[in-house]
Amino acid sequence: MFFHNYKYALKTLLKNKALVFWTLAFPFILAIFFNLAFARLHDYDQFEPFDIAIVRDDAYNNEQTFAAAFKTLTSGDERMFKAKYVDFDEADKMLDEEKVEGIVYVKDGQAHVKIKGNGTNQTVLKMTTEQVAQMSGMIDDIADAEQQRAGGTLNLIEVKMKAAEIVQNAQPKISDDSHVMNVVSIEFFTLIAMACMQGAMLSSEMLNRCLPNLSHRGKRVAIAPTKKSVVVLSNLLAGYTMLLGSVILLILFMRFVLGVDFGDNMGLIMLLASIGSLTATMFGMLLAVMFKMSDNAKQVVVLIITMVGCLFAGMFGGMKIFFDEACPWMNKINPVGLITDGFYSLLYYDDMTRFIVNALSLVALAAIFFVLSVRNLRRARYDSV
Amino acid sequence: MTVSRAFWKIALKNIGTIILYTNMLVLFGTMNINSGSTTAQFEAAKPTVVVFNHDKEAGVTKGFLEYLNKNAEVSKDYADDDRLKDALFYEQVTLVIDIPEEYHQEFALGHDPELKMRSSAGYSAELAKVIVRRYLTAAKAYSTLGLNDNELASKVEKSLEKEIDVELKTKADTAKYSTATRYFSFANYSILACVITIICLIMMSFNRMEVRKRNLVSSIEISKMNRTLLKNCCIYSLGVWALFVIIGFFVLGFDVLWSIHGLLYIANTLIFAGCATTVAFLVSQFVTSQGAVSGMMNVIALGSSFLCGAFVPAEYLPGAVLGFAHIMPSYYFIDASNKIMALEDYSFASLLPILINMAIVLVFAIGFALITNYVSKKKQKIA
Amino acid sequence: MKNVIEVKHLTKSYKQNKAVDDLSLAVKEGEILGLLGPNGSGKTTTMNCILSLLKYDAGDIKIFGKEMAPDAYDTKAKIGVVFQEVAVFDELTVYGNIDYFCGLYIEDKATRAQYVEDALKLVGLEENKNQYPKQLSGGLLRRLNIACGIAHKPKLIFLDEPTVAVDPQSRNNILEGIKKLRDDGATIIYTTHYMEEVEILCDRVIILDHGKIIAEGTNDELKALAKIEEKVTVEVAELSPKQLSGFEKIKNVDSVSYEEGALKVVFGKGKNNLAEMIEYLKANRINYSRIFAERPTLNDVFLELTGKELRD
Repeated sequence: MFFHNYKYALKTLLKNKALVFWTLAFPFILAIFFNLAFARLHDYDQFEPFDIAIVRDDAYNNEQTFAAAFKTLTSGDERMFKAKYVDFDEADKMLDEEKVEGIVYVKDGQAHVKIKGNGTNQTVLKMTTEQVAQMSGMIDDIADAEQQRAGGTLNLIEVKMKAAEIVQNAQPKISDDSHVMNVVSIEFFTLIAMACMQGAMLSSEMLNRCLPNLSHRGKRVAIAPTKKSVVVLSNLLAGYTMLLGSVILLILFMRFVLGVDFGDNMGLIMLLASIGSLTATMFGMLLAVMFKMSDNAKQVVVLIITMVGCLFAGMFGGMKIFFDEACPWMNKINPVGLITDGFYSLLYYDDMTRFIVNALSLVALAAIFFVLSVRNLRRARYDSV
Repeated sequence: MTVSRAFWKIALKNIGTIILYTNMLVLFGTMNINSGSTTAQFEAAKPTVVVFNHDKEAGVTKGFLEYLNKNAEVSKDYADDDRLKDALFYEQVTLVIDIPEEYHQEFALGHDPELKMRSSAGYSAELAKVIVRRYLTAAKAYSTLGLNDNELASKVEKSLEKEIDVELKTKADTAKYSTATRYFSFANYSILACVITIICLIMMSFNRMEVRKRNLVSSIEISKMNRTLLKNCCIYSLGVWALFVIIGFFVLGFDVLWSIHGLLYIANTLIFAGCATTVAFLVSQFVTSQGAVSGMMNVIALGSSFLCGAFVPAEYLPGAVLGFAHIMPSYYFIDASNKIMALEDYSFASLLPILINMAIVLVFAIGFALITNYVSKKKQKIA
Repeated sequence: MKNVIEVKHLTKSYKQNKAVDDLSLAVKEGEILGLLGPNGSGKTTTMNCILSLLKYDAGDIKIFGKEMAPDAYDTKAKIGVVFQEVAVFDELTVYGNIDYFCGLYIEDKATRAQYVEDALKLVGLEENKNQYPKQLSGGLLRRLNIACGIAHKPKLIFLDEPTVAVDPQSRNNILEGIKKLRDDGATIIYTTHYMEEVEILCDRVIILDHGKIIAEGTNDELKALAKIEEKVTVEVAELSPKQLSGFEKIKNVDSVSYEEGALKVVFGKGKNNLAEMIEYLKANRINYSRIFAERPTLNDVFLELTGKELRD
C-alpha cells in the first residue's frame, strides 16, 4: 500500500508542469543566468592588459629610471599595459576616441596621467604610474646616498643599477593566508537553498491531495481503508524524493557544467542539501495543514516566502551581512539563511562547529514543523470539508 | 467603454496581488540601492583594514600605522574572529594585518620579520595590499642605507609622498548619478515584474476560452478590442511608472531627479514602461494559469535583468552575454541609463546616443504590439 | 431484510446554521435509496457525516452493524463513494486513475487489474483508457469519476449527484450501470435533484429539507402523501370570469386557474374526475380543443412539501 501510493504520487508529481518548473527548471535557469552574469566577476583576478598611450618626448626620455620601469611593464608575457608610444596630440585624440584608457606623460620631471572617467582600468593605471614614479624616486635617492657615502667616486650607471637592484629585491616578508573565496559563490549557495525551499510546494501539494478538508481527491483517500499515516508519509516521501533528486541534479549541474567551486566536501554538501530539503518538506506540510488554500495560492505563498528568505540570505546583491548585523536572529530561523550559511561555513571555515550548528538548526526546525503538523493532522474528522 | 470598464473591474479584483507586488518591488529596489554593491565605484572609498598590532608603536611600525591611517580606513570594530571572517568574506573588511612582537626592532636589524595578512576578494583588497607592500618595500629599500629609526621613517614617508598628477578629462559627475543609474537600471526588473504579472492576470480573464469565444462572436473588431485593452494596460503601466518615479524622488533626493539628468532618466523609464506593457500584452496571449504567469514573469524579468546589466553592471558582463543582450529592449534601456550618467553636456550630439537608445526601445514596443495583434488574429479561430 | 446503515439522531451545525437536524434513517440491504432535496438541504453533509469525514454534534451512526469511525478500515473497505465533484488526477490516464484509487482498497495486483477492467467496462470507458482526463468530455469525465469510486466492488455505494451536467447518452449509461451494481448485490444511496432519475431508479425515497426528513417512502407512497390526485388541463379559447368560478363548484376541485388559453383544474381525492369535468364542459357549452389529465409527479409532491422547486 505504501509503495503503491508512493509510486503514483511520484508519477503525478513528475507530470505536474507547474511543480516541475518551480522545483527543477527554475533553479536551473537561474543558475545559468547567474553563471552568465557573474562569469567575469568570478575570475576577476585574471588581469587583462589594456591599452594606454605613452607620450615619448624629451621630458619622458630624461626620466631614465621611470622610462625603463615602464618598458618592463609594457612588454613580455606578464605585461600590464599595451602601450602605444605617440606624441601628446595623438594621445589626446586616442583618449577622446576611447582607443586608450589613459595617457602617461612626463612634464617638468614629474609623471602625469590623463584619464577619462573613473573605471577600474583608470585606477590601475593611476596607481601603477604612481608606484613606478615612487620607485624611480627611491632608486635615485638610494643611488645618491651611495654616491655620497663613496664621495662621488662611483660610476653613475653602476650605482643606479645597484640601487635598482636593492629596490627590486626589497621584498618585505609578508605571509598571506587569505582564504579568498568569491562572493559570487554565495549567490550559488543561496540558489541551492532557494531550490530546497521551493520544495515546500511539493510537500504542500502532496498533503493537499490526501486530506479531505483540502481537496476532493483527499476525500476519496479519506474514505479508503488505508491508514492516514501511511498515505501521508508515502506522499511526503514522494515529494521529498523529487525535491532531493532535483536539488542533487542542480548541485551536480553547477559543479560539473558551470564549474562552481564547492571545495572538496561534496559529501557534506549533499548532506546539508538533503537536510535542507527535509526542512522545506516539513515546512510545506505545515503550510498545508495550517491554511486552507488552493494549490495555486500555496505555490504563490511558498514563492514569496522563499524569495524573502533568499533576500535575507544574501541573494540579489550580498545583503546577508547587512541583515546579520541588523537582526541576527533572522537568519537563525530562516531556512534559506541556514542552508546558505552552512555551505559557506563548510568552504570558508576550517572547523566544523558552525556547519554543525547550521545543520542541527535545520533539523530542529524540521522537527518543530513536523510536530506542529502532526498535532493538526491527528484530527480524524473535520469541521467542514 | 464596456471593455475598459471590465478591464478595471478585473483589475480591482486583483488589487491584493497588485499591492503585494508593488510593495515588494519597491522594498527590493530601495534595499538594493542601500546595500553597498561590491562592484560599484570602488575608487571613491578607501579600503577598510583591521590591524592587530603586537609591537610597540615605534620605528617602522609607527610609520607604517601612520601611513595606513592616511591611506586606508582603519577599523577597530572587529574583535571577534568569526565576525571578522564574515566581514572579510562579504568584503566589509578587505585586509587584516597582524604585526608581530618586536617587529620594528627586527626590521631595523634587517632580519626580515614576517607580517601576516589575510585579505578578502575583490579590487579593494588588491588596493589595500598595494598600500601595505608599498610602504614596506620602501622601508626595506631604505633600510639598506643603515639609517636610525626616525631617519628611516621620515625618508620612507617623504618618498611615498611623491604623487603623480592626474588629469581627469570629463566633466560628468558620475558619482552623483551612479545611485540614480542603479535605481533606474533596477527598474528593468521591477517594472517588468509588476507590469507582466498584473497585466497577464487581467488579460487571462479576457482570454479565458469561454469569455474569448463570447468576445469573438461579438461584433467588436479584434484590432479595436486589442487597442482598447492595450490602452488600458498602458494606463496601468503609467501608474507603476509614476509610483516608481515618486519613490525615486524620496530615495534619491529631489535635487538629483529634478534636473535635466533626472528628467532624462524619467523619460527613459517611461518609454521602457511602455515597452514592458507590450511585452506583457504579448505574453498574455500565451499564458493560461497563474503559475504560468509567475514563471514567465520570473524568466523574462530576471533573465533580462541579469543578462542586460541591471543587477551586475554591464562592464562586468562577458562580451558574449552583452552581445546576446542586444536582442532585448532591456539592454538599450539600461545602456541609456549608463549613458545618461556619463553625460557631460546637453548638446544634441551628446544626447543623440541616448535618444537613439530610446528610439530603439520604442521600435521594440511597436514590434511587440504588432506581433500581439498578429497572434491574436491568428487565434481568432479557436483550434 | 437487514439494515446496512442506521443513523440515529444525527445533528451537525456550521456555526449558527443547522445543516442536519436530529436526523434518523435506515438503509436496507440491496435497495437503491434516493436522497432528495433542494440545494443546501443537507444531503451531502449527511453523507459526509455517515462517511466519518465530518465532525458532528450528536448522533449515532452504524454501518453493517458496526460503529462508523475514521479508522473503521474493515467497514471502509466495503464502501464506495462517488463524490459530486470530479476528483481525479489530471496527470494520470483513465486507467492510471482507476488503478490508483482501486489500489487504496485492493493490494493484490492481479485482482486489481481485473477489477479495473470491470470498472472500465461498467462505465463504458474501455476505448478511452489511455486518455488523460483533460481529453475527456464532461460526460465521460463523470463516468471516470464513478469508475474511480466503485472499482473495488463495494457492498455499499454512495452516489452524490453523479449525473449533474451530463449528456443524455452518458446519463443512460450511468443509470444502467447503477442498476447493474444493484443487481450484483450492492446497496446504493443515490443523491440527486433529478426527479425522473429517482422515479425510474429508486426503490425508496427520502426527502430532506433544512436538514430534516420531511417525507419518506416508495414512489407511490410519497405520491399518495400529496393532497393532489389529478391535474386536468383543458385548452379553451375564451373563458369569462363567471364561467371560471363555476368550475370551483365541481366536486373534489381544489383549485382553478386560467392562463393563456389553458385552464388548469386540480382535483383532490376522488374518482372519475376527468369524466365529471367533461360532463361539466358539455353542460355549459364551453368549446375546448384538447383535454388531458396528469397524475402528480414527485416534483409536485416536493413542491407541495417544501414550497420549492427541486431544480432552481
